[in-house]
Amino acid sequence: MTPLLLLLTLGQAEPAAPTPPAPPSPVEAVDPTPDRLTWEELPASLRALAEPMIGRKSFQSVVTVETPVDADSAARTVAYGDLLLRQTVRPAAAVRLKDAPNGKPGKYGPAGALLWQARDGEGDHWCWRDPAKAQSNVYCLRDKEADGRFDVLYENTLQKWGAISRFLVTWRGKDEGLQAPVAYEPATEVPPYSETIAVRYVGPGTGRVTDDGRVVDGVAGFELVVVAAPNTPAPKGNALVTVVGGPARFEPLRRLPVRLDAEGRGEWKDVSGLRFFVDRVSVDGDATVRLVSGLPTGEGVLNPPLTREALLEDLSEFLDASGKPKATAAP
Amino acid sequence: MRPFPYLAAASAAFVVAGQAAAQTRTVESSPFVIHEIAADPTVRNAKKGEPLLVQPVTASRAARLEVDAPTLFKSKTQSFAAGTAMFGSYDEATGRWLWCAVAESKAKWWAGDEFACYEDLDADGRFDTVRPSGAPFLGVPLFVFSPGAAKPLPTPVPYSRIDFANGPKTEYALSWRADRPRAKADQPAPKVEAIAVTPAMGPNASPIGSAATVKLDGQETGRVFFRGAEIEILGFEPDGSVRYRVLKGLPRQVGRVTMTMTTSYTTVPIYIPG
Repeated sequence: MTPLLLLLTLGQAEPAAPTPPAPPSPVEAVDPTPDRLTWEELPASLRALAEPMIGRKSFQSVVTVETPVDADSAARTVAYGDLLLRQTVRPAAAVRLKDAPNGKPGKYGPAGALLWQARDGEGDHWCWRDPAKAQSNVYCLRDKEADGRFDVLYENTLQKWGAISRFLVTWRGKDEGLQAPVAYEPATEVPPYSETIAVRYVGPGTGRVTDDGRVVDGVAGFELVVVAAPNTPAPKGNALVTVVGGPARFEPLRRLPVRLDAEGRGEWKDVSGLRFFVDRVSVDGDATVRLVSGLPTGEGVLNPPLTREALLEDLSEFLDASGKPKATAAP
Repeated sequence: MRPFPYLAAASAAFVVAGQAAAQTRTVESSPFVIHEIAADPTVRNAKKGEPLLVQPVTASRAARLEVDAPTLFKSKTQSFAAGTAMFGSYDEATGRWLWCAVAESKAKWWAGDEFACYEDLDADGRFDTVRPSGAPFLGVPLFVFSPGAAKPLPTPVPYSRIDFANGPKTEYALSWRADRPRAKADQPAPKVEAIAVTPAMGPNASPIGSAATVKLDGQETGRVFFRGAEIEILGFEPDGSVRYRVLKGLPRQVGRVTMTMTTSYTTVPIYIPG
């Protein structure tokens, strides 16, 4: 393998296609004093681009959050890379195939296979991967006509390469071509997948540094991640996430950039129920935080639909009140 | 990914046209800190290629060797002396901090120096292993992208943390470019309409962000605000240089960059008659 090209991007990674779409979540701001834009301040052209993203339900697995977390009674210090919370999630629901799609049980799932639930703006999809393989594509099917038969099949090839999670998918994939509808039936059990998700602190992003080493008027980096535990051997045919040897690995599900005020304090709160305060971020990496609530137990999704407020928060780090990058001329 | 052979029945051997693919790896750099410098509002002149502003930058963590430490890999520098300053770089793969001192590399196929990066595996204040840093991303000394394999040190090497401001330094600069309409034949050179400012780092002033363009007035003057710095553009000389003064330098601040490397490869299946 020969490295042919080096690229640098500011804030957003430039993924090689195909890559699941992700909302913009820059780490580095152009100006360390971000003022929040209003919707009306965005240029009309930008509003037109942004509007379809608001409320859009991105493709993702539907989960049951099993373990609650307790709120912190007091602030605590977390080091760079530490986890604020851990919670266990499993597939929320499943159906069972009555036949193999395209007559290929080894590739798309045999009769009797359990498919876990995923969802996007079009509705429910039901997904399967070969449980005997450590790395495999994910195939999702959809019953567009709600007649008890799947009529479209998608192939997600990304999950095969380096993804930690076995069932937390965020990309539907391309239409694989279903030759004939495939019947299915409801299932009372779900595939035996179980993942640990966590909120991880990944260090200061941007901001001024005070004389006492505090980061203010900037952004602190947090992420919602899937955790793969180390040193867990994989019994043959076991469908659980396993890693043999090495330190814990983390797969980011979404970024949680916390805006810091002039005192270096901030808060994360979103519609998923996740909420925590940041009292201080030190430039050398430690942060003082206080957890208010984790994800509520029960059925839900891990990537809530994008809200106008979250989009404005992201754009405010790059754009000024005229919708232009923040390095501007004074009148 | 290497080409792989198939075995197929009958027929002559033939090579199918290769399929190109690419894999992208993205790593967030460790935080770096741009340090303030004394204000100096004197009028200056920057030729093309010279930056408007240069300030020192360090990593957000630093340490110092308490004794001599070997490098244990092919390098012009076989060891670092006690007292050598090192910068901290977080390694996502291990969840540990690397502490890196700059060494000159014997390798000829990349520009820039390679560092020796040490690890304290058990957090007892002594380094246990050393790893080559790999090529610094974009040649910027603080950007460790892909460190190499670790080798155990013959004996643990004590170190101590120091103020990050005293760690290894490189430069953060604001490069610039004048934007003016194309000159027409027999017409005087048009006025500069805008100035584009780009942040850069390292000895080669490698761009680390997108250019921000600032429109100027009809007299080719204006003000640039960038990450808390304020620069007054006073005009342009016939040789293309810019006349300006720095009203406010960059305030002390932390930053990061997203480092992305895309590797392209081609797989070529070769059919060989069975």
